[in-house]
Amino acid sequence: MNELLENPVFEPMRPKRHLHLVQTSFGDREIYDSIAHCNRCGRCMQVCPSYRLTGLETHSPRGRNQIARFILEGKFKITEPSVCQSLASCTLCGRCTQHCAGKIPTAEHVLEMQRSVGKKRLPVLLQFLFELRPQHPVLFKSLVRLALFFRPAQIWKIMYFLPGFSWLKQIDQLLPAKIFSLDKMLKQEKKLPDNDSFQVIYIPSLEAEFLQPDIAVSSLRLLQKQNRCSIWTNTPCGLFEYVYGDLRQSRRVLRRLIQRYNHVCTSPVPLVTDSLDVYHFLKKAPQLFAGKNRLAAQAEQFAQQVHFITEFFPAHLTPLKSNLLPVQLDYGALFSRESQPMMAVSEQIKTLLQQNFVQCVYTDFDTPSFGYSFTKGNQNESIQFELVKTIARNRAKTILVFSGLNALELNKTLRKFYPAARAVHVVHIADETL
Amino acid sequence: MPIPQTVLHKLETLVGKENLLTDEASLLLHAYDCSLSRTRPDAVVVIPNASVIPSVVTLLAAHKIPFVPRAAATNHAGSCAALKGGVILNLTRLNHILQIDTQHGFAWVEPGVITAQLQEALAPLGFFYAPDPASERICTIGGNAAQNASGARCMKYGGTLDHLLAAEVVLPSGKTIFLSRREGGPDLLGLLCGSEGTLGIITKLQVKILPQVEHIQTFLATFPSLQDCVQTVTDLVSLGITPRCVEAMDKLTAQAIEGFVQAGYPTEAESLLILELDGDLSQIKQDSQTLEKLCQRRGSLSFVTATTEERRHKLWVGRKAAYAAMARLAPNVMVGDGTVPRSELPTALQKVRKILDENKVYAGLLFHAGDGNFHPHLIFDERNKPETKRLNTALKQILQVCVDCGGTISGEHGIGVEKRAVMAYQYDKPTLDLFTKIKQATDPAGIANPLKIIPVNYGEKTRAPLSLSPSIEKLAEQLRLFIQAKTPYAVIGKNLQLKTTAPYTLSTCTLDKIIDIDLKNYTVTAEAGLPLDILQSALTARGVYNTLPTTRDTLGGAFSSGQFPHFYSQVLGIEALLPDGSYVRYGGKFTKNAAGYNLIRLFAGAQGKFGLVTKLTFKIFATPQPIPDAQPFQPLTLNSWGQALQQALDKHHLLVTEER
Repeated sequence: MNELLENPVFEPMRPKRHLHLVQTSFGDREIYDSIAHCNRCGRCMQVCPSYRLTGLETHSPRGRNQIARFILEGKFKITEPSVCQSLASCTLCGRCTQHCAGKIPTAEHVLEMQRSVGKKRLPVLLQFLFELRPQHPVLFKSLVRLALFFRPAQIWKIMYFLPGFSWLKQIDQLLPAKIFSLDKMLKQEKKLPDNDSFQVIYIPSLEAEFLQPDIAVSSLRLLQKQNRCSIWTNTPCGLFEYVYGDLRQSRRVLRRLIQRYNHVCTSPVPLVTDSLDVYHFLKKAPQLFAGKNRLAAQAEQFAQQVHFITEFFPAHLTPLKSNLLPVQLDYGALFSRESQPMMAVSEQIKTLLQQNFVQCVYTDFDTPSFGYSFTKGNQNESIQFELVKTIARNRAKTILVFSGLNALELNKTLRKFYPAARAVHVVHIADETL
Repeated sequence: MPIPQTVLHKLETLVGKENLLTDEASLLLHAYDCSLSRTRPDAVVVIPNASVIPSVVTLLAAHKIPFVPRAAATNHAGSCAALKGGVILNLTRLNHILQIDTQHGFAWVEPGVITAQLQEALAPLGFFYAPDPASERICTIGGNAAQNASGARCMKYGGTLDHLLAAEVVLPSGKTIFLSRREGGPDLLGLLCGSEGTLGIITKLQVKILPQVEHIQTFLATFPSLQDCVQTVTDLVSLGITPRCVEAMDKLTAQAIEGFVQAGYPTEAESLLILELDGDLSQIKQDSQTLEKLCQRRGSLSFVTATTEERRHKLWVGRKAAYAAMARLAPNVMVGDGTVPRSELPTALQKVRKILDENKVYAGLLFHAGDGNFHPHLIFDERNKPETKRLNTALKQILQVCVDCGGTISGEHGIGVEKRAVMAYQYDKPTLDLFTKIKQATDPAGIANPLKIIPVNYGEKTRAPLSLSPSIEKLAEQLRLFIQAKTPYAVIGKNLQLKTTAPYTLSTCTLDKIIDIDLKNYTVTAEAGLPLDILQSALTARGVYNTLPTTRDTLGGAFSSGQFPHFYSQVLGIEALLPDGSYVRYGGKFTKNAAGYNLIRLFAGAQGKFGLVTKLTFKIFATPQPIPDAQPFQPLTLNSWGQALQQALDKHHLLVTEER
């Protein structure tokens, strides 16, 4: 056992299931140290969506940090129902960290506690499907294609009622009526990706590859304007395992990706993703391998090459058509709301649109990320409803989001409550496909 | 003491099952606030709407179960800790703005409304709510009222106390009363403000709102010493210029902020002043020129005007990042709070720095230079027990410095449990006894946020009592005779308004001296029997002004008659002879005081029903001020709370203000 990987806190007997260190804006910290930085000042409270909805201390970031602390100090057990509820209510949005004076990564603390609970939070079959992807990517792809093929034939609706398949209804409602195949769309493009000689690698997110291929196509177009681009399809990165599964598995998948990158790229090549969730996760690569000297160094170099698609936006964007205005930016993303690309593109769009850019205020809600609707359906809907209320108040017509999954989630709610607005991935603003 | 099951069932019926929390996690998560105090309650009731509060409190009172009302629990004094267990009443869901009336300048809000939420609602209407605690994005207006919070704008606009107009209050017995400034009489709303939930629960508040100012200009100046920095502010005030905000910090804090947010603060100067003027453009221009000259005269190292909104914003980003700048350096930050008369600020800060060095505590010093209120931001790791002990020692020594400099142990954070013991540094036994009586009269069962504010078993550890002047001693002697003989008596001044014909009176007529006109702090201390015309002559001779009319009435009469309610907020200190013969003092030459119950407001407009006011310290101004018309004199009728207070203070019912 590597001593450096030992985690003396939540599960001393199973150290590999936990992080050795957490990254913060003020440097790496051990988990207990990171939790102890919570001064209970409450700055995180009013920005936390779950707290704002419930007014309960147990559903607040301050409360979650105190729970973590009480557990580590032996005051109560991690398996208590109220603790589990508190952890499950966290959307991992990182708004608390953004407003925290000590930049405490509460989302990381929540995940660390979740790993100790060890329960599968997604529906079993969905969890199985996602776990299948890193092991058998081809099989995964075939299963997804098969499911999408049969979707128009209304077969899904029959399956809604089968035990363990109720989540299909949720997915069915999320998805657009017609889904094109990325492979076919790429073939229609005049400039196909160049997998031999390239200056940039593009990894489409799961949703961009299988559910919203227009995001992948737009991203490729944007990248190919300036660079020769390679596309790595059906490439898991370990994010799903990091959030919903086993940290060891997440490390394995990410290690494989880093090794592939190192094998293919002899010199540093930008690695681009269209999902800010994935971007934030890949930037955390050194955190996953902290304590493993060789891997940590590789992860550090790898993370430096990770970019979000907006970093390739041209300096001057084309103004939007008037029927799409005003525009609101949805800051929903996993872990952070102040990463560099998010801030940069926010400023760029603000400059472009001037008074047609709706500036969100401190307490405005945004889209819970990364499948939150599957883990906490009711709460997700309430959060989305609050967001839609803001959109309607602002009379925004276009909502720019930072991941395809957010676009799907938000559009579902918009269709129900405010069809005048539409959520689109931010890449489309540069691709002029709006 | 565990809460009986029957009570829990009744609570469940009143508030709903989902709003009664008794699981371990919920209890432990309601054990703290932003202080170091942690005490686990026995149950948490999330109040779903204000209408259930009277029934809940009545039930708890019937079973003598302690309760602690709280909302966001962001205070620094441990006011939210349930020291005797019992029930936490969580008011966060009472977060509705009920009414905004721009025509009459008020808003009705529920106590759980976040202060910034009200600001955001008012901004589009062209109005603002003046109190601006640094935590306004997270704290609630109910919490502000409970702690009498204030902020950077306090110097010009006053704190929460000055912006409360009315409130609906549930007393610890469960009875609902309505308090309003418009009704005259003792300012019980003022007494309630800052009482930290120990006297009742505010369920609805009416607050004053103001039209937004047209222009704001922000300045940054640096000085070679703290003395020069503070003196510049005094110079400015002496010219009749009251800035919108005056914030200052020492070198160490400026360096920490620059290391964090790069706000453009010079880091070489010993002190840094951020000053803001508001009003119309020509006035700002004129005042800014004066300000620049004053800064130069005091040897300022730099003077920068924020010419763009971006620059102005950046200056404030720096100031507001002070907490975060310190928070990144260590796991915990303790924000101290003390106030001294402005003239004493440089001395106090020097002593504070010495204490911090001696105790090996690292801290940045921030202060509201305009009102002598300073906030050392002390960093530490609470897991390190010796370090935490050193920090607590340093904090106590700092508070002793505040008292020694004629100040108070809390300017805006309150006392709670953290500063409870230190109250004995500031107050003598009779004053603490009076606090106890107020608490007992309002909450005989001692269930409303128990064990807060008043030190436990303070006995002889208190500050030495005042030695009385011969004239006050004579009055005290006379009072003792009345008590001994059980003779009813009336408190009067010149008896111009009350016109009592009671055979025995206790008159302030012999108390007619001006004790002190302080042109550094712009305060006057005078005896209550001083005629206003004599006061005005003395002030005019010194080139200063106040807001009282030039009449034959006495100063005490102006304060107690209820005819000049605007004057209450200008009174900073008070001394009074109580019906039991004891002599109390409260406040001083400092503008902010969040330590103990506000005795100024208890006696204000009370027409002598709680005792005889002997001395007052109040603000004066460098320029002539508008003098509001006197309101017609109306004999006072006390409400039920007022009557309970009177009974507690005057057990033998000897004090009369009307003929018997």
